[in-house]
Amino acid sequence: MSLFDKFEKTAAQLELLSETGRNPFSVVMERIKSPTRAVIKGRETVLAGTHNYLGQTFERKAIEAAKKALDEEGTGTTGSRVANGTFAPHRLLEAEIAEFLGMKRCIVFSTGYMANLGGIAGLVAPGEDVVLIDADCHACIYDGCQLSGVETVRFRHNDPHSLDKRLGRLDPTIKGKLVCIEGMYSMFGDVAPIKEFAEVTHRHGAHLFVDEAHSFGVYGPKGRGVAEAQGALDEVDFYSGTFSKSLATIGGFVASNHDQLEYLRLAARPYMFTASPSPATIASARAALANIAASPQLRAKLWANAGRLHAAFTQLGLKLASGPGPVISVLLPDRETAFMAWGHLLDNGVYVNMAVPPATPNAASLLRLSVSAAHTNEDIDDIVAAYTALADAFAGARVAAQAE
Amino acid sequence: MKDLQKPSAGIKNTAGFEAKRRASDMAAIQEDDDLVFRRICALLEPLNENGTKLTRDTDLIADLEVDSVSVLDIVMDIEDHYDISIPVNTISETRTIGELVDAIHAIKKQQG
Repeated sequence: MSLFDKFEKTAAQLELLSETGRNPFSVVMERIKSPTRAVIKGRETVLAGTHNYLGQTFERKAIEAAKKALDEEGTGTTGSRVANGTFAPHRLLEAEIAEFLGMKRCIVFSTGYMANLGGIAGLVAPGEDVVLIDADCHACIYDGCQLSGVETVRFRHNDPHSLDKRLGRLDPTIKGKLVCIEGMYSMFGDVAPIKEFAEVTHRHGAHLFVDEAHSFGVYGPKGRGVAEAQGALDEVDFYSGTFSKSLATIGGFVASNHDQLEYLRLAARPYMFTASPSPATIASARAALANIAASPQLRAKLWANAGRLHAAFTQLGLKLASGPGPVISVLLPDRETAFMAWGHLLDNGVYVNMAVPPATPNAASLLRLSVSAAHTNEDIDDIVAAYTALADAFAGARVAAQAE
Repeated sequence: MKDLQKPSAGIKNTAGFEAKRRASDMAAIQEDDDLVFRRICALLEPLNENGTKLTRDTDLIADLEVDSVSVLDIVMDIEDHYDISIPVNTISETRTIGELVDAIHAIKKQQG
């Protein structure tokens, strides 16, 4: 018996993957050429699995702002937000996000993962409160619940009735009830019925926490997310997001109209016990936020690209997980097919994400493509060509998928 | 600092339930346990690819190689069938089918 026994199964699987020469979990971007192109294994590849939804990674104004911050504020803050790690721009970014969302308060965390971890764990107390989570919530929401030690109840994905039943069963002595959902779920690209969830949540005296990591900047007339698109923003108690997708840097936030959000700064361990984002990170997040707020055409381009790809894939007879949107997932019959298909796309110069159980809902195996506003017509043509070759090579899989 | 030792507010801890069973309830409980056990087995059968014989001692993850998310999904079916809520925390603490039966039974008694 040893500490490392548990890795034996993983080691065997990794070995199998290495033998094929294509390990989806060890891709190296050898050289980044643009928001949508990189060299992988010596070959120029179209990036269609990087969640760079608004294509901001090479935004000139963001790069200039980051360089200026490096020169003027240095490489890092060397401290926690509650000690020496809050520089004036950290506070300015919080105010700017709150203004962008039309909310009163905002707290910036070092990553999106930590924003959910700290947001949830900071709000609830074990033995007093209960968290109810959508079954398909991201790992960081599960981890936030686990970090807090709070009692956690799962309800059926995107099913307000299932939530209603579970809220109704709770012991009346429970103090606080927090309901966690996501705006857009990143595996299938489907969106939550936020208004319906808010009605059920508030009828039971609970609070609603919505993670808009994949939808912030992307959905809604002003890019405020799925909640805005559905006219439900005022009904969201806590709104979390990330800088690593539409803002193309790293970090995360929780925003709210509740003034008590401020107390998370002294309750959320993932806020208190880690270093704050570097000055360059904060500067590029601020510049990217200003840019996407002033550039509705970025969202329009993203949605036009999404529509084009979705229509082309539908034409090919591929089984898609949802309607047109920033994430377009092709469902495949099993892990092996997903792995082979993923490698086939990479060989044809297109990088997407492979996702297999248990990271996926309903034990689905899929190829997840994320659309970017920066995808050029040539990028889209290359992606469609690679998926056409895929549909031809995996004709059996395509028919099987259709027959389901 | 949060007190991690506090008892659960929503759904009480199932530990020690076995010991507290009163003899007069035993027959009824046994019958109910069998029903719960059979229901769990029926839900697990599609995932039992190797045809492992299912007993109260079968370890869900080690013996059946069912992933953690599939276990949660099976529990959701049980929740809807019995109209009870089984917290994720409780499921994380159960390894065998028998432990799951006991946990469901305790929650049924409390919430039912």
